[in-house]
Amino acid sequence: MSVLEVRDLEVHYETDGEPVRAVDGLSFTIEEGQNLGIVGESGCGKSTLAKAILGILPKNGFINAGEIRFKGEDLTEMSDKKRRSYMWDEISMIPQSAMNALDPVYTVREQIVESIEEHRRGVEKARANETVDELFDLVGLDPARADDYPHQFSGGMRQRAMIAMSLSLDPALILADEPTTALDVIMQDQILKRIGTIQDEINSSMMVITHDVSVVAETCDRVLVMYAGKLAEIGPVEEIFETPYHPYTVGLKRAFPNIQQPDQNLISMPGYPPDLAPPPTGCRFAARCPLATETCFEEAPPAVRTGNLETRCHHTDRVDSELRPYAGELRVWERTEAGREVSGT
Amino acid sequence: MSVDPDPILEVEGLNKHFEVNSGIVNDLRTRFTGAEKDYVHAVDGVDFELYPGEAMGIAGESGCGKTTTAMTLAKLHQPTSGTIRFRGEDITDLEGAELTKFRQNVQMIFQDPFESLNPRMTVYDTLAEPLQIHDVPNKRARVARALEFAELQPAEQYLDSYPNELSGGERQRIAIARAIVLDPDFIIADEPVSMLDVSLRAGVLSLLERMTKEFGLSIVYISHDLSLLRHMCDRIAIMYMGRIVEIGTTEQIIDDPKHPYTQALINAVPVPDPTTGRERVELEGEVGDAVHVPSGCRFRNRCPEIIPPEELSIDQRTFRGAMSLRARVDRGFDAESYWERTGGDGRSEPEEFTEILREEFVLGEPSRENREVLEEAIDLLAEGQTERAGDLLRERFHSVCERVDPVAEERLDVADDRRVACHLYEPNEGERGVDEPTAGESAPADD
Ligand SMILES: Nc1ncnc2c1ncn2[C@@H]1O[C@H](COP(=O)(O)OP(=O)(O)O)[C@@H](O)[C@H]1O
Ligand code: SF4
Ligand code: SF4
Ligand SMILES: [Mg+2]
Repeated sequence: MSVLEVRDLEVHYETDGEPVRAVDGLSFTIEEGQNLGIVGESGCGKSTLAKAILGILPKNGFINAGEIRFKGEDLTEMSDKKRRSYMWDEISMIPQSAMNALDPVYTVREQIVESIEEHRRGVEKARANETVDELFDLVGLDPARADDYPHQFSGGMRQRAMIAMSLSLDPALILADEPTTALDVIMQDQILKRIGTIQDEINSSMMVITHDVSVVAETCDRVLVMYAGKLAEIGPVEEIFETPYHPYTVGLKRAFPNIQQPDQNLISMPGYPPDLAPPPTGCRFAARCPLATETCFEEAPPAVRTGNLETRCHHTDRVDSELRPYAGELRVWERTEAGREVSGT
Repeated sequence: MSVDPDPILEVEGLNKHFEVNSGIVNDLRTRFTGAEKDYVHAVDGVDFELYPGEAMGIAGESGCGKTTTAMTLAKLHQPTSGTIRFRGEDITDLEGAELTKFRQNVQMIFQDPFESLNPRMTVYDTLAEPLQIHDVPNKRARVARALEFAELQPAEQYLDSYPNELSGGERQRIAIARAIVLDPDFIIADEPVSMLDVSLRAGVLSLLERMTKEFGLSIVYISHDLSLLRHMCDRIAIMYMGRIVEIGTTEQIIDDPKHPYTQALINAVPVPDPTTGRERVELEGEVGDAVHVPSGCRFRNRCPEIIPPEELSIDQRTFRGAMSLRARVDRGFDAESYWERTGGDGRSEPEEFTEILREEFVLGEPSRENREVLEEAIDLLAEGQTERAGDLLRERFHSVCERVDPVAEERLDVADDRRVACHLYEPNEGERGVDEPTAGESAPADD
C-alpha cells in the first residue's frame, strides 16, 4: 500500500477577487521507503501542497476537491482532532528555516524528549533520552551537544537538530520544505548525505520540496515537476534528468549551472508563470513553450506515458526531434509568446 | 579573459577587523580584567589583483569574509590596514570629493534587491540619484538607456513605479540598471541571484554577462555557489577565515583544486545529474569564529591532510584523530559532557568514558606506540589530569601546520599562475615570509 496517495487535489485561496487556484487537480503517490522530490519555481503550489497534507493551510485556504489518502485513510475527511494527532505521530515536517522552529528557552534535548513523551505516552524518560542520543548520532551531531540551547548551535547544526526531532516519532512520512536552501555548500552536503543515511536506516518515506534540481538529483528516487498548480511531469529521477518529455522540465534543467559541465549554456525561459486567479485555459506553460501550438492554448494537455515518465503535454512526440537537440540555444526559448513580448517584437 | 598587464585594482595586505560587540558581558570583562578587546578578523591579509574586463569570483562559506571584502573594496568600509590601488592610485584613505569621484567608478549590486532599493523612491528617482550626486547631465536619456539595457522595456512604463510594484527579477534588473547608469569601471556583485527564483536567475546572469562584455567592465562576484562562479568567472579566489587560501583560473580551481579546503568545497557541490556520483570529503566541524584565529594554518582544525611531523610514522586518519583530541584538550577539555554520555552516576563509569573517547579519537590504523600514547592520554583525561594529557599529546602529535602560517604564494610544485596557502606544496624560495621552527619545538596552544 502507498504511504501517501493524492488524488485530483484542488486547493484554493479565497481573495477579494477570484479565488487563487494554487493546486489544481494534482495526483501522485509515494510508496513506502521512497523519496519523492517536488520541484518548481516559487508560486507553483509546492508549499500549498505541503500545507494541505499537513492540514495547516492558512485561514483563506481550503481543499476544494480531491483526496489525500495516508495509509489508505482520507485525511480530508478526518476530524481536525484526529488529523492533528495523525500529523504528529505519522507525518513530520522539516521546515525551511530551523532558525525559528526551535524554542530558545529549552535545551534541544528537552524539546525532543518532550515531544516524544507527549506523543508516545508511557515511554520512559531514560528511553526517550537514549533516543535523542541515537538520533543525534544519526544526523552527525555530538550527542553531548544535545544539552545545549538552540542559540549555541550554528545554522547547520540547528537544521540537523530539526531533522533529528522530525525523526523522533518514527514517522512514516517526512515532509522537507527546502531543507538546505539556507545553508552553505559544505553543511548542505553533510545534510544531504545524512538524508541518504536516514533513508537507508529507517524506512520512512520522504517528500522533498525544493526549487534546486541538484538537491532532488541527490536525494530522491522520483520527481514531480509542478508548474502553475499542475503536474507537468512525474517519474524516476534518472529519466526526469536524462530524457524529460515536458518542455518545461527540459528548460528547467538548462537553467541550472552544473559545476561538472562548464560549457553548458544557461537558459532562461522568458516570461513568468500565469496568474492563477483564474488560470488560463489550455496548457499553462503555453506562453513560454517553444513547441506550443493553437491546441496548447485551447485544450488541457493529456497525460502521456513515455518509459516510466508521465507527462502532461500535447506534443511529447516532438520533444526528441524538435526541442531536445536545441534546448541549449537561447533563441529557441525566445521564439515563444512570452519571448516575443520581452524582445518587443 | 584579459591579459592586460596593468591591473585595474590591486589589493595588498587588506585587513578589516571589527570589535566584537557581545554587549555587557564583554564590556564588563574588558573593563574589570583589563583584558584586550576581541576582534573579528573578518578580512585578514587579503591580496589580489583584478584586471580590466576580468570577472573574478570570491567563494567560501558564510562568515569567511566575502561580503566584508566586497564592502571594503567599494569603500563602504574603511579598511583597518592594507592598501587598495585603483588604476595605480592609492585609494585606501580617500575622503570627501575624491571619494565621491572614486565611487563613480565602482558600483555594488547586493543580494536582496528589495532591501537595496529605497521603497519610497520611484524607479526614475532611484536611477537618477547617482547621476544627481555626480552631477551628470542628460539624466532622463541615461536612465532610459540603462533601463533598456537591463531589458526593462518600454522604459517609460517603469519610470514611475515603486519597488513594491515590481517582481524580484525586475527589482534585481533595476539594481543592475542603477549600477551601470554611471558607466563605472568595475562592479561588485554580492550573491546577485541567490534570492531570485530559478526561472529568473539565468536571465539576470546573462544580463550581468552581457553587461561586463559590452562595457568592458571588470566584475567581482561574491558567491557561495561554485557552479555559478564556474559559469561566470575567469578567475576564482577561495576564502577561509578572512584569508584567501587559493586563487587561480576557474579551470585550475574547479578541475584541479590544490588546497585541501578548496578540494572539500568543490566536492561538496551537488550536481544536477543523478547519474554522476561525486567524491565526498567529509570535513570535521565547522568554520570556527574568526575571533580566536588558530595559529599557523587557519584550516588546520578541520584539515584532513594536516601534516604529521617527519619523524613520526602514522597514517593520515590516525593523525587527524590525534590532532582533534589535542585541539579539544587545548581548548579546555569538557569532561563533563563525556561523563554524562556514559549514562552513569557522576564518574561511576570510567571504562565507558574512555571507550567513548577512544571511539571518537583513535581512528585509522594506529601503530602500537601511537595507540599507546592516545590511550594513555585518554586514561589521564578520565582521571581528570587534563594538563598532563595535553602535554603527552603535544609531545608526540604536532604539526608544521599549527606552527607556521602558510603564505598564499606560487608554489614550485604547482603549475604557475596560481597561489596556494598550504604546506603540502613546495614554498617558492626567495618569496618565503616565514622560517620553519625546528621540529619538536613546543607548539602554541589554540588561542
Ligand atoms: N495565503 C494566501 N492567500 C492567497 N494566495 C496565496 C496564499 N498563499 C499562497 N498563495 C498563492 O498560491 C500560489 C501557490 O503558492 P505556494 O504554494 O506558496 O507556492 P510555492 O511554495 O511553490 O512557492 C501562488 O500564486 C501564491 O501567490
Ligand atoms: S502542451 Fe503544448 S504548450 Fe504545453 S508543454 Fe506541451 S507543447 Fe508546450
Ligand atoms: S597547511 Fe596544513 S592544515 Fe593547512 S591546509 Fe595545508 S595541510 Fe591542511
Ligand atoms: Mg515555498
